[in-house]
Amino acid sequence: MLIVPAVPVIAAIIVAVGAPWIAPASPTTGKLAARLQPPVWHEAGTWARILGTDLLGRDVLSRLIWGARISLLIALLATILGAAAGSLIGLVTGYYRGRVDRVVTKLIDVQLAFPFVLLAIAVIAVAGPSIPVLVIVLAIGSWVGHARIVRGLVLSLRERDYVQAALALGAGTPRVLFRHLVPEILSLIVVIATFDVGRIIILESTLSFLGLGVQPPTPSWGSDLRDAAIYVRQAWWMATFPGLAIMLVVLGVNLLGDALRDVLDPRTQKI
Amino acid sequence: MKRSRLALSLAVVVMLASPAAAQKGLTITIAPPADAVTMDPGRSTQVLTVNYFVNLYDTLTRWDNALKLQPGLATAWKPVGETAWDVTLRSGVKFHDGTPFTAEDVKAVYERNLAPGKTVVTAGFATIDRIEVVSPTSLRITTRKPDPLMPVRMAQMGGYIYPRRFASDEGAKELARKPVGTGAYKFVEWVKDDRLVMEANREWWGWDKKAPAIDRIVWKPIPDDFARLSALQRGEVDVITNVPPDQMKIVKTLAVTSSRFAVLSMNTTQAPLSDKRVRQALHYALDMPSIVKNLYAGQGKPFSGGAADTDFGYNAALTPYPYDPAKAKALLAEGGYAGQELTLFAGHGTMINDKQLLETVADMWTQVGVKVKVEMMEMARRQKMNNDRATPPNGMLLGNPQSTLLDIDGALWRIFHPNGFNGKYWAENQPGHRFHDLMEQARYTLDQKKRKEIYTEATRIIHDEKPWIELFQEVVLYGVSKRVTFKPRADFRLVASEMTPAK
Repeated sequence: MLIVPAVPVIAAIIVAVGAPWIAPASPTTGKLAARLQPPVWHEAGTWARILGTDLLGRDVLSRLIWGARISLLIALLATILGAAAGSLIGLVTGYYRGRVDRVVTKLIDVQLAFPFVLLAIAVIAVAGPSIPVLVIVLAIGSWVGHARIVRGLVLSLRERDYVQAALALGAGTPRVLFRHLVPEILSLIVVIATFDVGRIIILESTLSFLGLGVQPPTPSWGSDLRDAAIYVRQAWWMATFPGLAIMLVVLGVNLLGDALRDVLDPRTQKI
Repeated sequence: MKRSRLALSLAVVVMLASPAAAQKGLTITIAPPADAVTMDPGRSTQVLTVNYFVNLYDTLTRWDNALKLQPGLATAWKPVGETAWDVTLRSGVKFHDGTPFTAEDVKAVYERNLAPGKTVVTAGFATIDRIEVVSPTSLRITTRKPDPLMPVRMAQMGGYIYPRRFASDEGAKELARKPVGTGAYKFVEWVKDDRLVMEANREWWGWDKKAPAIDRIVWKPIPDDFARLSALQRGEVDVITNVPPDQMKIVKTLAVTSSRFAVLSMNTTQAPLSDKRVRQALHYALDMPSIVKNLYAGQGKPFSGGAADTDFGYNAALTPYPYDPAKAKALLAEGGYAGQELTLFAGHGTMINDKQLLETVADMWTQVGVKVKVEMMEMARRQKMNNDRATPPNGMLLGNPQSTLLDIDGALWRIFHPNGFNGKYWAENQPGHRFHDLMEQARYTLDQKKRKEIYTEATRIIHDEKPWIELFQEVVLYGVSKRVTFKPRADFRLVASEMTPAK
């Protein structure tokens, strides 16, 4: 059940990790004279540049492979950061309720009402675009989802008998939180985070497309799409392959999320 | 009752329609990437906005299509002694609102330009001490020091003449929305960010008894390169600016080498960029002809010496450094380059293919062993870096200056002047001193031959010192429809009175 959706994801991870060995050429060096070369199956294409070259004569395939590394790295880091921060905040506010909860819930509402891209533009305009800033911005965009869901779950879980029993036996707050509540919600966090990876890959591409993301000449799928946009008529391969890569990986991640939910969440299993 | 109302409205329709039917000339639509910011010529020097001014207003002198200085609202000008100019004005000229044009208007406009804080064009007029009206058609301009550029200053941005009642603070506010000039086209309406309409001023002195070929101009800003291009292809617009060179084959284009040049301004206060040999090496490592040929479809001209070939002071004897990676490596070693990282900055949209240009430059420098990183910024951040003179050590900022006076005083000396963007970075111990003295001397030398000699030496210093990375002179590239044609101008002005229907 997990195998089919996992194929594009695992393929992307292998490519990302093995980029220095797999990529046939340098992603940042190109011959200007050999620019806008079509893929190999075209008459003008060559085997040395299987997916053609971009407008600076760089190998599209190599940029795709190195781009996978950057795009996946950023997406994974941002997801982990967002999931950790969001879950922790959700856990604490859901457990303590009260004033902290009210303040944080309001904050979440405010952020949900705020257009993410605008927020990202503002942050990046001030801090300057770099990979750490990008990871943090994307994490800011994703913690809210985790916090809301975890808070809701904890609100109901903390009234359960086994939690009340643990409290009655004199268990301290950290023990209740991390020994009794976290294991219960962990599988759910993993599922939400998986879906989030897909969303964040898209967001990262969006920011890079707007020129706010990964800085040239570092390849990323989104910034390659930006370069390709105006050349669609002359060099369709520049836009098509990064676009396909984003689509396949995000689709794979989403299907993987579905499958994980089925496996990890006993309530959805058929009896 | 009903019938009479119908008759009345019919009459109105006929009345409205008849002048339109009488018009035989052409209506053209021009699509720049952004709307004008104001109609007050004192308040903007931005190239897109000045394109509106140049059609609505006249200057005392003006550059013709070949960038030769010609009479405008002034018919004659001559120096009187070292520091004064007598200017004779054209008689019988009327503003669009019917008021006659007189020397009082010129005085009022220039004095507003001189008043601190009232306009953004003060710097260009700062050499003027006072203006005296001699008669309605003549005036005397006195300068603080000898100013050889006075006739040119009368043609520059900010020199556009409007009726004197608009020179007050209140008047300027009205002018910003409803411009009144003496120009070839008069203002009709402006719907911000949608369209600005002008129609031919049949009384304009410059038509030379010919009827205007273009009757109406509609300016329709389209920010996106791709959308602008497809608007032209669909026939919705007739002239577009900023055509990406790679799209030249798709649409009909008009091109000319411009007076604007691309440079990387740099902070040379620290090693390795403080060393002249390293800066020279960076030039030898750039294959400029290949960049121009491939990235700009051959549209551009490598240059050296800090001057565009359109400007007074251009030194044709200085040829750009050839592409020689071996020499670059040798010079880098001599200059003591030790692996320091250079950062190339640019604002998105500074010029066509800006990001690709920096990537290519970075790649070529990497080939000779220099560590380079590229950082693209939002325009607002770039503006701040520029205004605060905040390029970090060993940082470079992409820019494309242009001389507002078509004289190197207006570009090179504006930028390398101690108050200019690069003045701060060109360290004290360099031959900057000699350059400084030369440029300051030229500024107050009336004898054109002498000035030319001084400029020859000054540009040679720039050629040798390379206090910035000299890339190439940009090309102005317009896309045009089948309905209109014109000879593009090197100074980026779109002058509708120079346009004609295409055959």
